[in-house]
Amino acid sequence: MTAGRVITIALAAGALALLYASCLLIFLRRGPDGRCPSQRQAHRTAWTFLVPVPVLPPLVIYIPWSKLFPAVGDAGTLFLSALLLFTWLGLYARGGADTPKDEKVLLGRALAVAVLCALIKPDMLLLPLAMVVVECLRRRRSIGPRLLAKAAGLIVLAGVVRVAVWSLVIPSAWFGLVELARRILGGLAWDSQGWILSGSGLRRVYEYGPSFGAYFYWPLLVPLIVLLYRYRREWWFVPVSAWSATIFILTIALVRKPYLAGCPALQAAMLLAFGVPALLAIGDEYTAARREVHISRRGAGSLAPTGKGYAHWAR
Amino acid sequence: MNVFRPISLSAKAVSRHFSPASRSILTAAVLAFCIGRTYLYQALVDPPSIDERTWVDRSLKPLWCDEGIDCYPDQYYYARHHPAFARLAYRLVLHSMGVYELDRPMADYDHSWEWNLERGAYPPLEIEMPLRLVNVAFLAGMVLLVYLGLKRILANRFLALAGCLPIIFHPPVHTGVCPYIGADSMLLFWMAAFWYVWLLASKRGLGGVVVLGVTAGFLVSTKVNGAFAVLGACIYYAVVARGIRRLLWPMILVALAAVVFVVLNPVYRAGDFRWAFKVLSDTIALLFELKEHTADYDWGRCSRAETLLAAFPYWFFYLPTLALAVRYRHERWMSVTVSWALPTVLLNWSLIYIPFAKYAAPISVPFLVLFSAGGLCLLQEAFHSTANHDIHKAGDPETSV
Repeated sequence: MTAGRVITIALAAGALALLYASCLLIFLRRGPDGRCPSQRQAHRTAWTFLVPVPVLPPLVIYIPWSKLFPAVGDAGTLFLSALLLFTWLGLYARGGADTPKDEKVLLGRALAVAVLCALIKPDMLLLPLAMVVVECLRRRRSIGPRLLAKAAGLIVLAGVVRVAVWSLVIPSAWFGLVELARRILGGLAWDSQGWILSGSGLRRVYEYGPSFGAYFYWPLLVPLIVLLYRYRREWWFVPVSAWSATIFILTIALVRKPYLAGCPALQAAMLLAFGVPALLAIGDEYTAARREVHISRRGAGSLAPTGKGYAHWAR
Repeated sequence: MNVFRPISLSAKAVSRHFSPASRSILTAAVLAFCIGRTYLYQALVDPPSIDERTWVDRSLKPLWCDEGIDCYPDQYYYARHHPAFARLAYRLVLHSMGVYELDRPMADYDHSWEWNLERGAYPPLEIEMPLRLVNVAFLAGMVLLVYLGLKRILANRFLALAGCLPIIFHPPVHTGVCPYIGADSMLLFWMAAFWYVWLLASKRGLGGVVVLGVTAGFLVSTKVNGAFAVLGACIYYAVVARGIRRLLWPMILVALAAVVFVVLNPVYRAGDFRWAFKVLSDTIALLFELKEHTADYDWGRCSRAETLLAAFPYWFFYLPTLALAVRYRHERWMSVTVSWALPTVLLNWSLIYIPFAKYAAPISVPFLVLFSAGGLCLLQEAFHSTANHDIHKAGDPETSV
């Protein structure tokens, strides 16, 4: 077993763990009105930890765990994307009791992760940049446009630093910049078909298979977006939808043939953006059905709020 | 006076601009254009396939002879390979054109497509095109039935039309099924017909079950995997019906389907019950033989997981689909559509052994119908809630000018 393969598997497993943690954060910190309750109010049971499990199986199945193919770069993109989402959710997963100082600490932490992403994988520079732009636009009154420019500049600077370091081992810095631009505009960070379809019959299946095409899921997008839009007032909506939309747009716009099966970051984006609202919708229906049964058994007197919010359907 | 009235997307607002006749004409024109652009175009431009010569042969030969297997071994093979409906439909077209035999060599499957093409093992264009147009007609019928079903569910012409578009532009249907002379386009048509009849018949008692049973007979007589939808209908009636009808309706359904099947397939009538059972068991054995034979080819060698992933990529969206099914579980159309789509999708998917488009289409089309129906209902709900919100806002003395 080569070191490259071990690192690939470790990064993929880490990415899955982070995505699971992000889903768990959404389910754990969901108040009755969709806003994030304080940590003390958050209701959790052992079952709550199992609730996010159905969101991720498609990604687990598509990742080639047993194939002898080291793809550190592709797995790294997935890991860093998941890390960015987790950090981004962390900015919002607060009960509203934080001081401005706490907010600054959290923002600084998110910026540090964004800079780290740009430094480690400069070809996925546009994702942390989008995160910083969205966050700064949302908080423009509290932090001002100057800080927005500084944060964005810091991320670009991280990418440039990476190229400068890289230029020590390549012919010239100019070549490095051109190569970075080529990688960004070619969407190489988001195209992991070499990893996912490596050494398996899947490539043959795509060659002889039913030719669903790379955009087979587009007709489903309108209802899926409506499903997501129903939860627009919930605290997790902005980070999850902005993160997913950025990855989706970058993959569709930059990758030549963005097969869903061959782009794990796109898969993660779709799973989070549509899997989480779907699971919440199922949970809400279950809660409503249980409440109806409860009312029919005990009469209208039991309409009094339980104070447990939506979380108790998970029990 | 409120000059800036909110723009409403409700049916009332649309009906102000279009009369019912113009709406029908517009819908029919869009459907006809889309069908022409996909199915008709593909039927005209696709190169000949290796199976076409065989299908002409099996359509021209009598369905069965009374002298038994030794008389025409080919016919016994054909009768076991696919039930008779597609052969009957193609034969009707060929005979109406005056074609009773074709003097061309049969395709040799041990050689390449190019090799067969060189020796002329394909039907000429004047035979090939009409048979492909039969496919186009059946697929257009399928789209029309899906449209009528969605219109019944959504009570909105334009949303029903929008629901048909993913099926019309679904690549496996127009690139795989449409130009292929075989039973697959007819299977899709009868599957859609079965769903539509079921939607209409679900509340109509015995009469509905009888019509559904006859449709089930045609469905199973086109391809045996149509039986999965019939299984779903039996389970549906066993659960939904009351009293003795829980048992009676499924029995009538299966009995009528069996009668139509036997009437359309004379090979089952050539002997006693034991003979019919032998034909059925030979048919199932042939499916396994063909599976083993296909796996010998280079393009047939994929692992089970890879075949499943490639044959039905929509499985990725299982959670949103489940959410839609749960959301509308109390609606009759949803229970009918789920009972129709679930066994068809799951059983066809579990049995697929090579992810060809023609085999993948019967898995993905029921899924798309289910998702379109649920998803468009959700969309309609969102529109209605927005329109209601606008109306409330316009009526609010604080917000109106």
